[in-house]
Amino acid sequence: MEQNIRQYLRLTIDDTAFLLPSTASLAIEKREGLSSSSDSTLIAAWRETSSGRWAAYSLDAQLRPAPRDAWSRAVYLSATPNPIGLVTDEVQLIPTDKLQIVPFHPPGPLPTSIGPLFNGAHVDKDKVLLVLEPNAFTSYLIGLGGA
Amino acid sequence: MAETLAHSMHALVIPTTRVPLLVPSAITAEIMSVPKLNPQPLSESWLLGLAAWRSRAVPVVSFENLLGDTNQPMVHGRCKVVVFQPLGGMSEWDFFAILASADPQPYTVNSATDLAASATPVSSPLVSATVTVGRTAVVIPNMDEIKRVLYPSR
Repeated sequence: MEQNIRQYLRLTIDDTAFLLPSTASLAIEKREGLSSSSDSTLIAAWRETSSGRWAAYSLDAQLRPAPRDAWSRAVYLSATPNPIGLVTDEVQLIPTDKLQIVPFHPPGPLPTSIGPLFNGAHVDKDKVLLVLEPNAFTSYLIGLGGA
Repeated sequence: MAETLAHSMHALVIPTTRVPLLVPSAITAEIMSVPKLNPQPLSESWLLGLAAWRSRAVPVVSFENLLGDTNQPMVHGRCKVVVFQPLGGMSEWDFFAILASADPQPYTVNSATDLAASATPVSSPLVSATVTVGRTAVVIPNMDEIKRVLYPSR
């Protein structure tokens, strides 16, 4: 895990939240600023840019492709050839000092060639918020195809 | 003549809905009621969820599902969670836990005859041996193999 992360994005999908280092986010776009997608099963929306269009994927709380309507923003991460995004119900910026991030190795086979999707966890009483590993999560989104 | 162990070994018999486990007490860290199990996306069927324990996220697994059972065990009020020390080669914070279907029972192994081979062995790479404790068949898990399944990339 990066040691110099000062803030995390708290991404909410349905009733589940994930943390993403804020440094991994290239852009956060409101829904109104995005073009809707004709294939909403996989890609919820596109961001139109002069250099191409950026896909924003629609995932459920299990991070599996699923059409969802109750999203408000898309969070984009750096990717080649174009940034790639995830639509979320809510995005909150949380300072690191409000969190207790501990290392976490998820059990089971690796879902991407880069490694596990999560590399840390914030534990608050009986709740566990998993920290997305940006490179692996980007690889996972690219692997879904369709962009 | 019974082979006498130089020291007795304190062990735990951990009941599951399939077959009880016999493990040295020394490799366990805590027995507790079933806590809230937080989901881990894209996980295997044997992972029941993540428990918040000592400010760590601890995977809680079903030994029944590791053995290949397709139905997840029912979690009820008598169930317990047994937290295990990190497996060999893992980081010091990599605790994991197994769901028990009832309270684990202490058992002291004094001699090799205490662990007579069972007439009905469980065949699985995850099982080192099936022995009898009293009249009950119990399995001694193969912790190296459990590590290979839980953490295949480490």
